[in-house]
Amino acid sequence: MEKKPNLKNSKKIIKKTKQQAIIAEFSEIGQKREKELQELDRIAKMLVKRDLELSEIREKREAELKELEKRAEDLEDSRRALMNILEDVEDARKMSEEEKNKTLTIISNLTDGLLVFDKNNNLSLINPQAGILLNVKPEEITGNPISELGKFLNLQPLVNLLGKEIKGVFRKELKIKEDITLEISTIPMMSGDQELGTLVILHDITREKMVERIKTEFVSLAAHQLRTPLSAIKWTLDMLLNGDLGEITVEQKDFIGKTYQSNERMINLINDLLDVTRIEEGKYLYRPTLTDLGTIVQFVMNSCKEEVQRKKLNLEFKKPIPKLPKIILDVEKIRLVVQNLLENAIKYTPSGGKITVSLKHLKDKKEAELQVQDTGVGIPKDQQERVFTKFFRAANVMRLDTGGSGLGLFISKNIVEAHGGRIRFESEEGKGTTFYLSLPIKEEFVEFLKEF
Amino acid sequence: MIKTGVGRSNNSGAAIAGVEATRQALDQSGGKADLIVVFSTVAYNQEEMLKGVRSVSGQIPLVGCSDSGEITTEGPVSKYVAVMALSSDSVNFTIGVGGETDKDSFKAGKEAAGVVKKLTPKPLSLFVMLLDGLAENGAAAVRGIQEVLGKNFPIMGGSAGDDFLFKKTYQYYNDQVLSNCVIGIGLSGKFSFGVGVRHGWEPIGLPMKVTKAKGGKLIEVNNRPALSIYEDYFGKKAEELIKEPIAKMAYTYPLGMSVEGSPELLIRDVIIANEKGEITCAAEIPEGSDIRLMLGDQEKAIQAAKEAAGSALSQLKEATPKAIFVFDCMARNKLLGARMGEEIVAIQNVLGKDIPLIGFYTYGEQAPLGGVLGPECFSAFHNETMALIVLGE
Repeated sequence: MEKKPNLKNSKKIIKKTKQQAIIAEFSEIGQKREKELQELDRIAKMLVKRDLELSEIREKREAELKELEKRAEDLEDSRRALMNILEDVEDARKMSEEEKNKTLTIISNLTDGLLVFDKNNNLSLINPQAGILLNVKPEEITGNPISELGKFLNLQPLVNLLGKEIKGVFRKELKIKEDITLEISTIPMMSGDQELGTLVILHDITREKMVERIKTEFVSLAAHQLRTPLSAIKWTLDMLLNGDLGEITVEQKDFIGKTYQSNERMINLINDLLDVTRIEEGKYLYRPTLTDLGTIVQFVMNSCKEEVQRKKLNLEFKKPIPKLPKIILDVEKIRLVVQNLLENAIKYTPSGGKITVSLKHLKDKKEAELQVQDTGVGIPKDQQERVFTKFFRAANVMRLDTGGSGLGLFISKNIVEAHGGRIRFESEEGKGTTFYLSLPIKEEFVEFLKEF
Repeated sequence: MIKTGVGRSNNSGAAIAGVEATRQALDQSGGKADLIVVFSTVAYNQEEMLKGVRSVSGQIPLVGCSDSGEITTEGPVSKYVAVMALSSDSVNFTIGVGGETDKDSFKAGKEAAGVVKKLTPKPLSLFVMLLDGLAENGAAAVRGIQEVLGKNFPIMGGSAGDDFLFKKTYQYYNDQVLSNCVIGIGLSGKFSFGVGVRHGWEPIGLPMKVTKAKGGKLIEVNNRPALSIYEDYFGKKAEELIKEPIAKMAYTYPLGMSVEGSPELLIRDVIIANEKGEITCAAEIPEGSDIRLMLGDQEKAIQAAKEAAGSALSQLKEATPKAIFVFDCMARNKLLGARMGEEIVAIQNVLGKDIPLIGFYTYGEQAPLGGVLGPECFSAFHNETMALIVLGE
């Protein structure tokens, strides 16, 4: 009886233990599962951590890549820019080479001789033509300073002209040999305001000189040949006019008189031409004597009196007070000049006009100045610079139909300059002209002469 | 007929960039438009950029926002301004705005939807929202709109960005540059549309229970400070994680929670963590939710975009695609890195390469769960998701 409950109890116990076992088993499974899940979670966390690291690295790489790409681009840009620069430089080099060749070709083929001196006056370049003209071998003299060049005989005339420092020369004629005349000019070569050296240009004018000489010789010969028959005509007409060949009527006398005047003008023209040829041949030397310029002026004025009265001109002479010192001059030639100036004034001043001749002593300049002022037709402004050239006749006086060779002022200028003087003018068309003639007064020389 | 044009510019002058992009868009849309959509980098002075746009667009209704990268037909770029011009005689666009998303996102959503509902000439078919990216609770803004338009109304949209600075985002509404706002665009009239919503992120590790949360703030998980999740997974100290916005490290490791009606877990971005170990998320995670850490994969992300486009196309039925809007999470941009263009190409391969496309990289997406339309439609706030709309006719 007692056992029953025991049994019951034990059954209960057994049931309980079974339940417990099941629970324990389940919890064991649960714990196992939990552990697995936790393990999985741990792995997941590990993976995320790794993934995070990887993405951080990837991001960094991408940033670096971007930076690299940008740098590569920059490099490519720089490379391209550099290539462009190199190309430009190459182009510029080619161009400058071409330019240099071009310049050298031009210099070599130039008909003028060229010598280039650097800023230390060393000859740095001489073109073939200069070598020919100077009869030197370019390679022998290139590189020498100008002071050394004088040692070459053929170069001496040029070196003498240029001087050791190479002075400025403009169109100076230089006869380097009997048969060669050169016209020498120097040009300073500047780059900005920096002096690079000097360019010497040798222009061969031998041929021009020869042509000029032949022309002068021809004119001289022709003039001489013309003068002889003209003189014969002059004397014949003179005899006719003087009645030496029998009586002539008043009418005949008038005609012959005009013919005589024309012949006279022709003789004057021939004489002027001869003067010009003498000047050009360098044979127009003057014979200096110590003379009073005022006397010459007075003499010329007296000789023109008739014409002045005929044209009813007012001619005045303002003499200097005190008198001018005597001047060394060629009386005949200066008289020719004064006469030319006065005749021009009379010729181109209409009737009733005024001519004032004044003589001054410009003490500060040690010069005597003669002024011939008229109230004539004047010289047109656009033609004023040609007044002293050969055969110049101003347009307005051509219309006046006055005689004149157009040589007077050319001759006058040459005479005055041979005396070391100057001649110039001021003129206004329609109002008048003033010519100024100045001659140096060399008092020391005068004093020196007085002692003899 | 729907006619659209898209332009973009990165001219160094903000106003000039606005002018250039708008000109391109309007040139393609035939010189006129009924709506201008603007997405822009915050690198530009916002007012000047918008002035540039307005100088070309005149008084055409305008909506838009700042972003963290721009997407156009030509692909994704950053530090640009992108403009779309939409012209249609069959679709009506009605726009509205709600404010103070920083204080009460629900109210802001309600306000914007209310304006649109009031002004729309025809019954609305679709509501598109552009929300401040730093709204206090993005999900609440969606609920606010649902309060007005109905629980099953399709809502699409994106949250404005600021080039990953997480400081201040901007919304554009006609001539105004706003902040803390939600812009609403109501589409009505005769047209068809399809939506696609996919992310491709996968859960990893054990589920965790949210034991304490308030709005977008996650306070405790498994009865531990919320930040411990990231301490555990990243193997980093809390101090390291709060130094700067946690988003910078964690945007490709968001949290996912299971939601009824979605084939994928609904993702929540973590944005900022504080020294108390609390994490502020882009939208709420309700207390009691089971959450998991999500892991992204480039191939899966591109595949997800392709699937989203496919589902949108199937919803279009027989209609021809005319315009594509893409709300693509900035986290996807970061995950894909140099491959981000492939994602857009994947979409274009499905919908058509020449269909005008505009979009931006967002701080959050708004879309129906699973991309489902119709009576089962339930719109929600997403993260890390490719949400796209295709308009057709």
